[in-house]
Amino acid sequence: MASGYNTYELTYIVNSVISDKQIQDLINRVSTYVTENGGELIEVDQWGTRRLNYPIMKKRNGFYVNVYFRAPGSIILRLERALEIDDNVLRYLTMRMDAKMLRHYKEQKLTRSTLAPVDDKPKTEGRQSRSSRTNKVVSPGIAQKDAAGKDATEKDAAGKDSTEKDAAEKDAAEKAATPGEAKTKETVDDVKAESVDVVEEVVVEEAVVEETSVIVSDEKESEVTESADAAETTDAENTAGTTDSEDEAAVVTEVDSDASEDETKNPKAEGAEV
Amino acid sequence: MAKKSSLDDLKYIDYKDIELLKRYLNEQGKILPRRITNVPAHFQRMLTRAVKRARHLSLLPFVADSLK
Repeated sequence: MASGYNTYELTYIVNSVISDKQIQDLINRVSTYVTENGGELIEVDQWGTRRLNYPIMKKRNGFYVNVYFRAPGSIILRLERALEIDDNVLRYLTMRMDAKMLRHYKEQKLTRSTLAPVDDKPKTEGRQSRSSRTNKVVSPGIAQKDAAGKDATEKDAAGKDSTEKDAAEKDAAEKAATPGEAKTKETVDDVKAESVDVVEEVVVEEAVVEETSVIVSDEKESEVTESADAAETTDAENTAGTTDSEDEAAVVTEVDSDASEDETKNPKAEGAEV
Repeated sequence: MAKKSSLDDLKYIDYKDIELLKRYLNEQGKILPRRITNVPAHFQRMLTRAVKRARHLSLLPFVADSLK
């Protein structure tokens, strides 16, 4: 069905030796080619210059660009041909996104929308390089679609700057979606952050997942969400948590021991949860 | 099966998620066989597809001296 519209993901590597302007010109050319021929750009994600794992066309570095767009299938052939001919495009990979890929992409975007641009914690390489790059163009149409689907969480999530730990938090919490787990997480936050507004956090937590923790304790959010995420990853199975003060202590000790492993554990947990 | 609960990536494995992929490669960058990693069959197929795409885009090497 060449006339039907499909969503595609195109990743290509541009020669990084040429000037920045030339690189941007090339990227814009590819983007305009898509839009001119009836396509709609969803996102242009420039990863920047990365070291290649093996030399391509004798070059050791490449400028990676990741484009998502919706277009009729008939333009793909000419697009790929144009990329093939261009000497400055080292590699390209076009993929039609099926339902699983689309769902994964939407989840990823939700995750990235809660990421802080500046992050000093080690993260999964793929995700960090994508999120911290500049020149991200997200079309409003898709953003609205996502907002409609996950209105409460995304609206608030976009408004604040929280750390990347919210990503795994959100996923795990949404899956569990029990007040017990949320409260357990919040009690940990409370103890760590020594915040006064425990009760408020707990009550609001049930409705919306983790924005409250950030809104209330803004300055300690990195520590809070880090410890909370440690609790999340370990408490993923313990969905039947209670809010007794006795359990607080138990949870705290558990999280304390896990907080030290947080750095090494989380990248793997992140990968698994996403 | 017990494996399913621990692998949430059973929906889709992104070739860009290199950290995830590296877990299933050995030091030489080779894809580990299922009898070693004990992953479900379709997970292994998705994994293989993703690794080969990543190798094509030079996000992973084909051959390495010490990948980790």
